[in-house]
Amino acid sequence: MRGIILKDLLSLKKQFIPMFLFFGIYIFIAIMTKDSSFLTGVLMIFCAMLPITALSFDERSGFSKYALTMPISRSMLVISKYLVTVILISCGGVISLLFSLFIGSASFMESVWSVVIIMLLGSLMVSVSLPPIFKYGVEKGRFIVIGSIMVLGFFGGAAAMSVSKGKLSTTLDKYGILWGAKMDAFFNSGLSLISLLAVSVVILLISLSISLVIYRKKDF
Amino acid sequence: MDYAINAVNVTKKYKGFTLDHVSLQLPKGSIMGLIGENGAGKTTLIKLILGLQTSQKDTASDKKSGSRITILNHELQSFPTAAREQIGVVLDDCCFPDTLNLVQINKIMQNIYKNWNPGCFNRYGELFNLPAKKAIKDYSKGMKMKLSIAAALSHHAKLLILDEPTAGLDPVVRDEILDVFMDFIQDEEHSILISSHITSDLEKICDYITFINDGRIILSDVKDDILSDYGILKCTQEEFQKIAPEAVHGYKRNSFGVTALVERQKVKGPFIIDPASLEEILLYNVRGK
Repeated sequence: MRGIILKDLLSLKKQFIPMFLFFGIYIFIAIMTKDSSFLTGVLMIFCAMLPITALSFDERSGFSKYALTMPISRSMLVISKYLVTVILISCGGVISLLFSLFIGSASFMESVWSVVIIMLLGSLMVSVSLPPIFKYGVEKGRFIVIGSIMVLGFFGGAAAMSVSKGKLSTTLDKYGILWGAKMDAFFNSGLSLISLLAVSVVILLISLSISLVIYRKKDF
Repeated sequence: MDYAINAVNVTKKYKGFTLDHVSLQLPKGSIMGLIGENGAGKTTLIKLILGLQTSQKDTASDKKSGSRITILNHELQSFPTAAREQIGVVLDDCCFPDTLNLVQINKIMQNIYKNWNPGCFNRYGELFNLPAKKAIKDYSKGMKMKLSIAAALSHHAKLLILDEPTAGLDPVVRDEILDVFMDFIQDEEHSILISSHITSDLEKICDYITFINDGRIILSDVKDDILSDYGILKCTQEEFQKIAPEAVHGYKRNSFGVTALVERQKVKGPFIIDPASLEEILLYNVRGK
């Protein structure tokens, strides 16, 4: 397991160099505006994209089938990709939090919230992407993910509009109370932070078990 | 006899291709060559043996005929992951991500194989003139193949499964690598299954040869027996009519008469039969009428 995680990190090493240059610009913007939330978002999207980039390297070189001839089981190969995701997103989270605390003007709790929410979005992105990519490969898998999100968004929106008879509001609830007031209460609670983390762990585990089933049956 | 690989009645169906009830036995301590044209089923058979693909689910008739694969005395279905330490594999292309270099691969493999020998890997790297710090994407095709061979030989494997390991290499390096394989096989516990188009390589090193064509095994035997049993017969059209049809495995007509691949024992009469090479045996079996 350690070997394949090391392989992923070493093969991604060259990706980190342009990434640092790119982040230099965002760090500069963050310092100037005293707001690091944009930097957090970019950093996290990058961290969530890296495991998929590692998978595309594997696919291009045929490493996965080669790895299965080594003392590595199919489950280990899948779990390693999820572990790389957790490692990268956690590192991204810690770095974002440090930037947010030292550069940004937000309070500690605000910083934690913004980093955690973006971390969750990152892990959600990976959770949704990995199973179709394991099944259909990186190229087709990406299109399937983008396509299904668009279809879901369209029909989800249409369904919500039809249920609310076209009176769906993103600012007021059905009693005319501002959503923002409810949001404040939600964000002030430590319980909601923990529940969100738990939900994302569950989503990641569901995604992992789907990927394991897919990979167990895969022919190379 | 103790077998390193014992595959019995293995079947795999694709659209337009079937590997049909193939059996292959590689005795321990020997080298078997797998010969066949492109698309004959060599790589599919190797992938099935390695468990990279699953063979067709046993039908009632297969259960009767006992379809199964055993490697180093382990059933493939229950093959322990740790036992893969004993298998060295070279697949048809270099399978390391091309951003890595030799030093990094050495580090990675050290963390994958318990028996990995970094010194041995470095020695093969030097022997094959592989630059240590160069990214694999800048390696030539031959260098990539040499890297795969070095990796397969650096963890004290007992069985090597090699899919076209000498493809794309020049004759000098090919000869060097065949010597490495010959050294490997000196230990009687070691065995090699090697597929190749370069039949002269297989003729040099193999103890057993298996010919595969269109998903079926057409011949599998001791190499020396094959070479002594078969021969090339040249005769006129009239003479050819007198030869028993069961002796002929393929023939070609030309302006001088007929050239045929025959089984020496079954040909009666005063004919001159020249020795046949493995390449000729393959060609007459596949392309001959």
